[in-house]
Amino acid sequence: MNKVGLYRDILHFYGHDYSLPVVFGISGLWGFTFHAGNIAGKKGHSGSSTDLFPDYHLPDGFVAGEYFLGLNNALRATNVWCQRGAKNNKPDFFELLKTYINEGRPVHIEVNRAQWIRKISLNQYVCPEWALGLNWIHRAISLANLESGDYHIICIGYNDENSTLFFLDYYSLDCIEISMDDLFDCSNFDNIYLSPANKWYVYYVPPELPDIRSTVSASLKFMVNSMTNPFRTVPKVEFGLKGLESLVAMVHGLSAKQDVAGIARITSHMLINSYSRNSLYDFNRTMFSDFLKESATILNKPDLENIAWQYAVLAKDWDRLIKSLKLNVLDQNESLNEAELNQINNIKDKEHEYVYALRDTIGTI
Amino acid sequence: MSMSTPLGTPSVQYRSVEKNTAYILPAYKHRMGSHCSSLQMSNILLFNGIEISEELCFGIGAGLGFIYRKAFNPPLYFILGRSDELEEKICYHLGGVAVPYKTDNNDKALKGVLDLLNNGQPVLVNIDASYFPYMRKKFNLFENVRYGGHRVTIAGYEPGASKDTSYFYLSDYAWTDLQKVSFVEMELARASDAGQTPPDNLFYTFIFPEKTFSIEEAIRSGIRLNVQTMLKPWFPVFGIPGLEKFCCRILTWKHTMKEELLKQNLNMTYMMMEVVGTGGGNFRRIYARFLKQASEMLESETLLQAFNSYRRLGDCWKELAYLLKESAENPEKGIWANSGSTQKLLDEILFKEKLGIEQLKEFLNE
Repeated sequence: MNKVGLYRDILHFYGHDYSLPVVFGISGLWGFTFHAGNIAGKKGHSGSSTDLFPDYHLPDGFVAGEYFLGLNNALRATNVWCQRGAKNNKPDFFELLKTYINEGRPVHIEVNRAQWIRKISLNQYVCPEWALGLNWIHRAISLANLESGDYHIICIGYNDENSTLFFLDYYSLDCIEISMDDLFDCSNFDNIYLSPANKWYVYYVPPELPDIRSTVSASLKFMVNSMTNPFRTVPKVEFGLKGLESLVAMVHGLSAKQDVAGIARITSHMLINSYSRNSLYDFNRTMFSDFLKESATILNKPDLENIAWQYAVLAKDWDRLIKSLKLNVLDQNESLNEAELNQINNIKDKEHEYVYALRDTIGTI
Repeated sequence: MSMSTPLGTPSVQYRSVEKNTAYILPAYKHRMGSHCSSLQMSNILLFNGIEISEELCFGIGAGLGFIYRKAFNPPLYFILGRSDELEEKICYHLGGVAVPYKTDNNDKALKGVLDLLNNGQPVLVNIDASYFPYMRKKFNLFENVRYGGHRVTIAGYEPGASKDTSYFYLSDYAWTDLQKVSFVEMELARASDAGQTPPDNLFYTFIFPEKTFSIEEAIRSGIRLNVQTMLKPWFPVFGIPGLEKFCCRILTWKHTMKEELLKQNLNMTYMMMEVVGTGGGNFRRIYARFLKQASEMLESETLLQAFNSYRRLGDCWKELAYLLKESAENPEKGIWANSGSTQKLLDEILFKEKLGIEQLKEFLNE
């Protein structure tokens, strides 16, 4: 979720004070994605067969509580214009960063998550609570032999004499200085999931943003629609409630066959992609709950508070399940036990129930 | 932990199509229209089972706009009557997603397009139109200015022995049939770095949900966004603030620009307002047609009044465009033949533009 923190910081830089849950919500990042692929015992990435778009490279057994939207919806919701590109030549890349910094504009860069964290030793910058969670994620990445992009940092300065750049990272308590060469090494990947591929973004934010009520209302409708009427893609990837149903069916099937490798693969993805800012493994359901609470006030719709509470409970259900899987599946190389299978069924039913309750509530907005 | 290799030349895979045999997406229906982006979106939506006219696409995409800014190379004033990122806005308002991709790696750009075509998807790309022979024949604009913001849809390809003898089949808004260009021409057009808005190899992937939002809802969203972008743009060269600058300053051009540059700028402005894929009247006619359709679908008297306003605006912009054309031939004529009368026309345009936006606001408050 560090792209959410990044965008909040960008808006703040330009004079707009939106909370993290609101930025999360208007970015449309609550959802569900599942891609089974050729899951049995396979490591690494599946290559171009599931490339919905360049640099996507969706791996087998992938699970996430969001979509591939990046910040596209956030831009639409806030009427922000984005200049973007990809610079594969190192000197050009740095000149571009310097040009925008000299104009007074921070530059958003995508990096390989694991590479970045290694290069800067992120643990020295984060609070101890998050360090523990990040360490577990890296362990899971190693186990599954999975590197990914989808990690977002902001360049806010440079030192030409030392050939270094200064960055803000959502997880960091301090500004990070890194050499230009190291930064390029972190961004110069194009065959991992959501490859950074030297992508950069600069934002042009209006002095006045659209009315927050219509923004929040539109975002809620978008997210609910994409859960209940999922995206159709070629090649096929499963989204929304259908994706969740497919995941649960897959997990049951693999458990019945005692396919420990397949289960471990899915569990790794769940562990990596469910970790949220509250040190919970909840697929951002807590964040979504917080967004609903704020939406209740913004839209003057108290019913949303009840649904927010339900998602807060659901978040804890996910957290309990994934922590249990971490222990049993990843640490002890086992398949799912009956309790865990019941838990995931229960979660699926709640996700189904709550999203339709939400749909009925926002239908009256 | 494995490390991926640095970026290199990705392998390009063709479908099992015989060399020198055209593969064209059978479900893609090429149609003509007034404006490249809106028309291509209408075609792509149709391909995805969503039938929306070009005009509705323009309105849902909040296409109404205005830009007045000075560029550097060449140092001309760039004036355009529409906004940007239509494709993304249309998709967002329908509940879908348009994922843009830009890169300076031409091989990767080619691979991205072929991957989509091989997956049975048409590909909307951004190009510098001056690289296509069929474009140069039709528009003489490209002798003076390069414009990297033209949109075409690639609906098929024909692999050959080399890039010179491999071809793309393009759906271009102003032509009755698909146009054929070589891979080399396409690469140059997509990667061109000349002009005001380089294409940067931009192309889109479109993804839609099983059920999109209703067109009526999307129309409202488009109008709401358009009011915002016109009244509160991110920079005062856009929207109503930009228009105010233009109306105030254009008559000073004769005193601030050398004659050759002045004529070039006047001719370019005339073309951008009236000729090259605007639907005429600096995009106000296509927006008027959108409002007409919207007023019928939403049964709104206010939108019907707004339609009349924008229809008249289209006439005003056309009148101004032809004055600019006259001035491009002889700076003593056209807008400077009678500056007082021209200023009255500019004032009328500004007044009507503001009135139009107020009418749209009134509709939103209903």
